[in-house]
Amino acid sequence: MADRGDTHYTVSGLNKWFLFSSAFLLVSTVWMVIDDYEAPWKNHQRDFQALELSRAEADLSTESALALVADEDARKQDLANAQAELEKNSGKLEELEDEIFNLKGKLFTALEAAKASKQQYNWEKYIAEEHRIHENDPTYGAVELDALEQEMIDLAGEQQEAEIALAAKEAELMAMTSVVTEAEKAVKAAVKDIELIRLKKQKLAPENIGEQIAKIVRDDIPGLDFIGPNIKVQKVVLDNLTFDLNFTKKTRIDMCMTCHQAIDREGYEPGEVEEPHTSHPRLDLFLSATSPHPLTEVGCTICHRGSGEALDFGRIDHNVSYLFEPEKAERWIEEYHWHKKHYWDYPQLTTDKIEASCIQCHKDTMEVIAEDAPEVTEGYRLFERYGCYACHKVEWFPTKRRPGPNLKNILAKTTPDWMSAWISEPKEFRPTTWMPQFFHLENWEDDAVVAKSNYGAGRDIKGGEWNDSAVAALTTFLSSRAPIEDYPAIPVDGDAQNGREQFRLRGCLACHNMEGYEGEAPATHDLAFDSDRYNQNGPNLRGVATKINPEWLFAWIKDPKALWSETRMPDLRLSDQEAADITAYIMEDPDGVFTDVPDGWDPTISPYDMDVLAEQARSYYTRTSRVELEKRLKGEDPMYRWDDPETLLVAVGEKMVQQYGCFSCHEIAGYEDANPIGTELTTWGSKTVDKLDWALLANLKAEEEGWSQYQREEYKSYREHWLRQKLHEPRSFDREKVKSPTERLKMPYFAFDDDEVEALVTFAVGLVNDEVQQAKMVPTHAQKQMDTGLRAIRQQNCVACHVIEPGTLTYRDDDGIVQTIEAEVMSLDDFKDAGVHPIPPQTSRDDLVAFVEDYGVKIDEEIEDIGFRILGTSPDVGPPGDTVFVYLDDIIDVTPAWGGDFVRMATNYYYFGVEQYDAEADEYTSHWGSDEWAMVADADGERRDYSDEFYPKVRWTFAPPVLWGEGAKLQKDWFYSFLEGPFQLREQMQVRMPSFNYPEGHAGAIADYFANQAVLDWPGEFARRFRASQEMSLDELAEASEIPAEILAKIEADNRANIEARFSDLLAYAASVDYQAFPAVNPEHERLVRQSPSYLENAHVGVGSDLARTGPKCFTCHIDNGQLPEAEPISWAPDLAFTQSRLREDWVVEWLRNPALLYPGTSMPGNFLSEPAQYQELFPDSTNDDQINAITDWLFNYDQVPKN
Amino acid sequence: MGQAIRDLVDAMANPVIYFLGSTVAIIAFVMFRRLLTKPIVLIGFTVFSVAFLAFAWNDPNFNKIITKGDNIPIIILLASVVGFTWLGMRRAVINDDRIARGEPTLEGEVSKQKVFTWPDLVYTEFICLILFTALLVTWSIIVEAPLEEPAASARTPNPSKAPWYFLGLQELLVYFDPWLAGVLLPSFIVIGLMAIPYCDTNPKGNGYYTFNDRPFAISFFYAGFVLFWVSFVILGTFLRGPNWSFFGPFEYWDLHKLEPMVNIDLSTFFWVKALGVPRPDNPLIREAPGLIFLGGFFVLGPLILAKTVCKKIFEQMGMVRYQVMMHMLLWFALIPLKMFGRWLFDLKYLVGMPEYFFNI
Repeated sequence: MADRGDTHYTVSGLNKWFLFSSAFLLVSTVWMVIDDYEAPWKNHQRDFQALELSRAEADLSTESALALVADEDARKQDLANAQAELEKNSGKLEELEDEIFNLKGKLFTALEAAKASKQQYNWEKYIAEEHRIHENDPTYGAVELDALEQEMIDLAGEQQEAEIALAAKEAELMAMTSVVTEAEKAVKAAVKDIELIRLKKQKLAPENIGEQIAKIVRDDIPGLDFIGPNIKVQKVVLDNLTFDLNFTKKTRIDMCMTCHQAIDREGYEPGEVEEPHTSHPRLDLFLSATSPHPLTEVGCTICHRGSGEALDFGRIDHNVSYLFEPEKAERWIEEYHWHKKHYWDYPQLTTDKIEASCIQCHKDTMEVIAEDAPEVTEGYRLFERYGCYACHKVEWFPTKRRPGPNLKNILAKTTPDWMSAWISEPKEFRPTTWMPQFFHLENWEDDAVVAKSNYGAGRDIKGGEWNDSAVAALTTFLSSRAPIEDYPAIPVDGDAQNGREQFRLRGCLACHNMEGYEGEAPATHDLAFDSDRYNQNGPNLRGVATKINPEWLFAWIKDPKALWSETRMPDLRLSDQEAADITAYIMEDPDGVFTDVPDGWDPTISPYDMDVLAEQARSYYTRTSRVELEKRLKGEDPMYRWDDPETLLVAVGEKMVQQYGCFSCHEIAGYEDANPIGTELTTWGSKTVDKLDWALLANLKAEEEGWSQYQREEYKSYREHWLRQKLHEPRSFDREKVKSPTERLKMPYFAFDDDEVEALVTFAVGLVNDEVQQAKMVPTHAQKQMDTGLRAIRQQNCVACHVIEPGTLTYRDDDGIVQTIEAEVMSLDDFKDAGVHPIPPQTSRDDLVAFVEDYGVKIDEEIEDIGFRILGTSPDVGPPGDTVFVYLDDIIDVTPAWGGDFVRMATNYYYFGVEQYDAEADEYTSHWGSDEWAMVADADGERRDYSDEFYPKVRWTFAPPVLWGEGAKLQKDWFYSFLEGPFQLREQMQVRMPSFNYPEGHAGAIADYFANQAVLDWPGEFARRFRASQEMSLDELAEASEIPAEILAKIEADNRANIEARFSDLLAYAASVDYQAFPAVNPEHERLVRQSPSYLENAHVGVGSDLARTGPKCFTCHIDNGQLPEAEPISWAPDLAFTQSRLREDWVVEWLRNPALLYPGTSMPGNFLSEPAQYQELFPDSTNDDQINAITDWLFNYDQVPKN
Repeated sequence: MGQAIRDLVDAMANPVIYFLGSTVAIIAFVMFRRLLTKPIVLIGFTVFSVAFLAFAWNDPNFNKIITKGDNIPIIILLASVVGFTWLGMRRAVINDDRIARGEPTLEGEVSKQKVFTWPDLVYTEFICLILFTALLVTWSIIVEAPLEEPAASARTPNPSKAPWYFLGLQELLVYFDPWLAGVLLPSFIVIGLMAIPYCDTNPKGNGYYTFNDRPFAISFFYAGFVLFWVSFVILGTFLRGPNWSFFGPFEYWDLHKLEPMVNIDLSTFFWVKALGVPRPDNPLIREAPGLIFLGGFFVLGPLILAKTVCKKIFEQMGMVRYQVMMHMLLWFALIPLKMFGRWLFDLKYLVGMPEYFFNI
């Protein structure tokens, strides 16, 4: 534009501005387009496409793929030949094709004519009908209509003729070209396995030029890549899993798979491919379509948290702690410009805390998921064990009882002096106690001035004396609320030696231990002194005689529930004599254990000071006026004579109980209904971090560690850090704070170790308010029962005495194949001479090998291999009961049995004798055989030496029974009634099944648990037994049954998904080869048929009775309706009178067939294994199965059949 | 040294010093305008600002508040207000000299020329349009959108800040009842702005920059806009932290910072402190001192002023216009009055009648 010269601005100048600004706009627009094109998620998808392409190419160049391609080439050659052959007849072919063309034309014409005629006819018909009605002329147009109809029929006939002619010609053509079509099919069939890969490759890198251009336009041109792109945002919309925005809930949308494209696909292992292209590490549990948590239903953020709708690395709130994972954080900062987001209230969980999310849905089934979520369930159990729930309410938490003992009768149990010392520092007396420490902690430093007496006008009061007076006051108050009841004297004299045996054999040590104060390895192989397993359910009893009164102890072990209604201590149904003996043993303490107290333990009441107590009264009695308080302190108020130390102590003590919430854990008279004092934690994990009071701690830590302000801020932005600190050092948030005594933090010190803290943190982080339960995961009745059952088993400590699942052994066999079997390690030889415990511990491979090597040194012999007894059906190794010898080097792993510590304890007691503590030498020595009392008194009163018996026999006879497969064995009703009212089932046993103090529903849940577990175990067990019976390898069976070996292996390993998918096929195959299946358990009702009148018509009850008595002679060992057998107690077996109400029929049949298969090592012989069958004189022409059936018939009608 | 500067700046940044400092700066700017509008001053000021920014940049607290996505416009606002105020004053000074010398003003010279719609108006507007579009595009690429957590009515952010242009009003909430600060005063601002053309009939200063011709109007503009509006926006943006506490630019925004605030009403001063008797129960009697004071302030004030200082203005404007203007000005004057009352005497309300939701 020319410059006119009369304008204010020069046009050429403006033109330059225009040029510049337009260029700027152009540049910024281009930049915008490129910026969008270069979005990180798009680049991830491009990378993934490249990865997929390279994989497809690699897949196409494998040997098998190349072979397929070669085959395809051959087929193509065939095709070419066929085509050439056809080519020779091309004249005929063309002719034929022409004819077909013409015929098609004819057919078309005929079709059209027929259609038109039909239309015409319909139209005429309509006209005629209308006319006939309106004009009342019923025959109108009949002739025309008939003519039209005829025409229509004729035309249809012509059409059909044309169709037939065409079909004939087409068939002719097809016959001519069939060789070619067959060859084409062969080509396709040859490559059907790689066709998918080819298609994928074709899609990713098309060969066709048009498709290439289309792909470039769709994905590779910035600014145009919005037109039907392959690269696009992926998402799942989760209607049921809402996102809580207070007052409103929003559908959760997760877009994570936009970058994590392979997350739900197999085969993208970390290491092979890089983030974010890896597969989820637990596809069996998460995301895959067959898993319980498919991607389309649960998404990502419900577990991981973070922001699912973000596509930018930082905005997702990918979580890493700069402080604790600096390398990862550095890498993220460098690669993704990561920084901690403070604005997102649902920060992504770090990998080690991810299990926290399980709680959201699995609140009611925490025990059931324990195996897959060990950390969070550990936290859940610790939360229960340490009684956290007692002070900190968690609404859904299933345990409600007060975790600490009843203090209403405390003075009957112990003395105020002892109480005072205990309250002051419980762990000093008993390092393993769960009772936390409340006093003499860091916010009450002994020498620090914490207050001034007389409202700040008097003398300085130090933290130490404040605490001492508080402890004295608490003790006095608690004593005042626990009047000494008149405990009756012990009615009989106890015998300590006898008590010792009772104590060890009845089962006390299943829950209690007597580990030393220093925690050093015990000098004995007596498990009582080794406390790393189930014998921690009750307190450590070391030093206990210095604490308790004998009369109380007697009353307590006679009937614990009478003294503390919520106790877990069971009733062992001890006689007065037994209880008196045990009392005598503990109080007289021949072993020097129960009177052993730690150095410096001095149970005297804490010193108290009237000034301090007065100040405490002033601090805590805030609702009483100053004037009134002074009156009381001077003794001028007749109701409150606080000048008397005793009265003042009680008054202050009561406030201390309120302050520290003692009643949350203990029953205290007057505080039965008091509310717990801690913060409710039901939704603690949803509390925003800024609501946590860090006080000065972060600043102090930052100074200590030299953190920058950024690091300090980051530290404060993780709730985990806060809780970790709180659990490790509960009072540390008071550091450097100026606080009055009443304001100071009260949370006690539990001395958690690092692992415990992490588990508890994981649990607490999972306590969120996202309501998923109703929407998604509704546990079935069976699942809930399983959960309650498992919890009951843990809480009642069933596992201490009973093996619930056997341990396993993983080793490399002679052929180098890795086998995992259920097995137990067997005792080593030569143990008598070595004077050491000869059974290696099956706790871990390292423990086991170390023990064996050590033992080898002791007996001066190199041990190369050890024996394992096979316990479960292992088709590739051998039947249960067989021994497999494994070289130490070949052992890969062992896992311990679930439960059964006390089995070993009891068996050892019989087998190796009683050890005695020699206090002077501070060691335990075995007196086996040297003293009469060192032998075990049997049920018939005699003392016997069992050291030469077969170890498993002793174990199966005298130790608590194993419970694996118990659900298939016991009738549920009997099981339940036995749990509620146990009795002596095996007369020879000293070990006693206690009467437990079950919370409501727990006994039934235990019985249910075993029944349900039997249902779950059955398919795997069936598969293993079936294959063992067929003597086939996995591959052979796979071939025969057409089920892939991989799936068969998974079915045998109890994998639920594969069982659900293919087990029915296996069942069908087993039926087809006439495998006699043992039936599955129905957990709801028993399958009892043998007592029905119709069954009894053909049953062999009488034969069974004769057979049992004179054939295998069952009553040589079994008790006959209360009548003890003549054999020695070690051979005694349960009363057969119980069978019909106690056992499942199917199980009895299995058991009689071959007892060793069910319980390897049992004393019960296999009476019906010989071929041909024995006892033909008693039951002519019978097979073993006939005999077994007859005996079972008799057993289940035992009460109907006379003894002879 | 660096720390000393930071501490000094933090110490200066408390509301009293900040407000008084801004007031003094404005007064000084007006008084020494001849000196301060020399280009070297602006250059010096810019150099100083850049140097200060460079010094402060590495401080984590300063950096955090400056680089926050939604604070960037305020930085631009800060720079442009200073720049344009300076520019306006510079031209005013030049014009005043020219008028004194009897020459035409700068704008007067220009307006003698013709100004065409095209290209002088439309073309420049078009260029501006393009530039700003490009600028916004670039800005949105470079600066991340300052998104925060999902909004939740039960969990408001701390501090909860108004949009930046309302931060001046939000600052008033510290000193006034919400009803007053949130409803009445903003209404008066709007009414006052609408009333200006009717009150101000002085034709001088139209179309050119000047100070000498309109000293009162321009000073009032500086007080009202630059001091009470813009400087409060800056204060609210950069210096108000969690719990609406005051923080220096180098200070860490500590959630737990406490400020002693035991404020009392005028009635307590009068009855309890001065007379030593309890406050009467009847709210009207109790609040009589405040009511009388306000009555005097709003009724007698304009009358007395009309007879004395503002006699000339009163004669020029007539009763109605004078009263309207005066009431607007008195409401405006109430703001610093209450601020000083708060700072000096911990005064809460002049009239505090929560019974009738009437607090001033």
